[in-house]
Amino acid sequence: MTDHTKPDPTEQELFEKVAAALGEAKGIDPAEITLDSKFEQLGVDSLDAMELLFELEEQLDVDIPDAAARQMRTVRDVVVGLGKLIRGEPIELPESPGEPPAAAQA
Amino acid sequence: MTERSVVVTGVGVVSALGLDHGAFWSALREGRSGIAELRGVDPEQVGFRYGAQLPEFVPAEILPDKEDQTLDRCVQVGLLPAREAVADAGLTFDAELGARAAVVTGCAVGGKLTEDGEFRKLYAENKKRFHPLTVPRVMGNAGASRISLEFGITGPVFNLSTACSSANHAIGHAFWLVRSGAVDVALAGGHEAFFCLGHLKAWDALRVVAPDTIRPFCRDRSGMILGEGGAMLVLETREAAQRRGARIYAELAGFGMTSDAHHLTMPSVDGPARAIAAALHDARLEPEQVGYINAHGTGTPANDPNETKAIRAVFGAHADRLAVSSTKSMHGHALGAAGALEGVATVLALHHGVLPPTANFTEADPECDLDYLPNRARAQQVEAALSNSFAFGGLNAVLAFRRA
Repeated sequence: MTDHTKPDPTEQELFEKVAAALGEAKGIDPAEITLDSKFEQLGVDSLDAMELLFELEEQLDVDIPDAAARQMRTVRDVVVGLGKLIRGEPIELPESPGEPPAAAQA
Repeated sequence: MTERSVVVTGVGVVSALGLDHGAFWSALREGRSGIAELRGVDPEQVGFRYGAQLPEFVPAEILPDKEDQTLDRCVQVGLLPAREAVADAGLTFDAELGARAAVVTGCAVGGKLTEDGEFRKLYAENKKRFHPLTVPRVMGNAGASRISLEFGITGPVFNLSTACSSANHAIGHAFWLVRSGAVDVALAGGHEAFFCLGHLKAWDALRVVAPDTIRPFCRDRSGMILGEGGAMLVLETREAAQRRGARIYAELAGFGMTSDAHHLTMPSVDGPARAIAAALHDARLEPEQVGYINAHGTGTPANDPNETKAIRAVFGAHADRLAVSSTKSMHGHALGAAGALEGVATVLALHHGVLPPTANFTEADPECDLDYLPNRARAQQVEAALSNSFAFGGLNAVLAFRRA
């Protein structure tokens, strides 16, 4: 469970965590990552994204629902989504599943 | 020497749809799904709630031999359809035929239930000893070996593990063994049983399992549903089958396989399309002769539009005149056994002149624009039919069947 004795991390702190995890996983210079960076621009494919979310779930002790995970295409999507999960707020999803990013065909 | 024609003379199936091929076919033609809430594992721990598990059965009733009851479930679901298929074919193996026979199985993940149980003892229950038969129970070839023992089959016996394409690779290689004259008869198929916490968690982590049900090719599809089971086919030459007056379900006419060399889990259009084309070429079939395709159709966001594009790439305008369905909507995705269940579905479709539907169909995804036989089977005698399997790792295997 999330440790409620500590203040929630700020958006900046979450951004730094995401950038650091991306940097570590994909060998990207964190200085090149911005909130608006798209996974596609960073060379992060769907499987990389699943691994990134797993790493962040572990670090922050949160569970990102599958449907929300599928919507995350930018660093901002992840930072905002994680912030909401940590604060216990719902993550809104568009009605249609949208264009499939898709982890895999299985 | 002219090439030998290879035919299917016996089939056996255990799946969520029932414990023999009669029950399997009844459900398929009615569009009835075997998907239900998970049993034997806690859905809260797993992370998803639904699967296509075998109906409840009393092991002593269908496996009267005590020793068979101790086999890993994965082996049991291979042995049962092998017995059914051999009986269905009316075949008796003596030493001579046994030496001219092969067993080729597809089993991708092996004895996960045994493994999970032993690991639990070690890590959770602080026990020190493993069961001495753990290794022979968990090995991937346990099913192939048990089947060879059952019938005294002493020719080529092996297992193939190529994820979701395992059974198609197995049936395809067995077909080539018979066609080439290396053996006279083969038992080929796949078997898989893996509904244990340790393995289901791995699927949950990949985020590809649907929270409710599988809706292949639909706009609102949300992933796959895992299934367990096994299916076996008896393959022999047409000449031998005719000589002994055996019923011929269909001809297994061609096999094609390719690799994407593209991505570990994301499919390409080119790899599957080339596998379909290779199967047609091997079968000496023109695209226009194909009337039905049993699709890989996993219901994942990635597979379904990709498979649709691959079918269009091969069949061109004829793609609009053939029927495509995903029977995974009823028996679930049985991984290494998937191609065997679907191969039997395809053979029975040709035999009965009935094309099984895609169940749970709501509204087609605009990117999936073929005739997917939504929810209702169709009485239609087609000349030839394909069964597609496209695996993780980019491995594609396609079987081509022709009406007997």
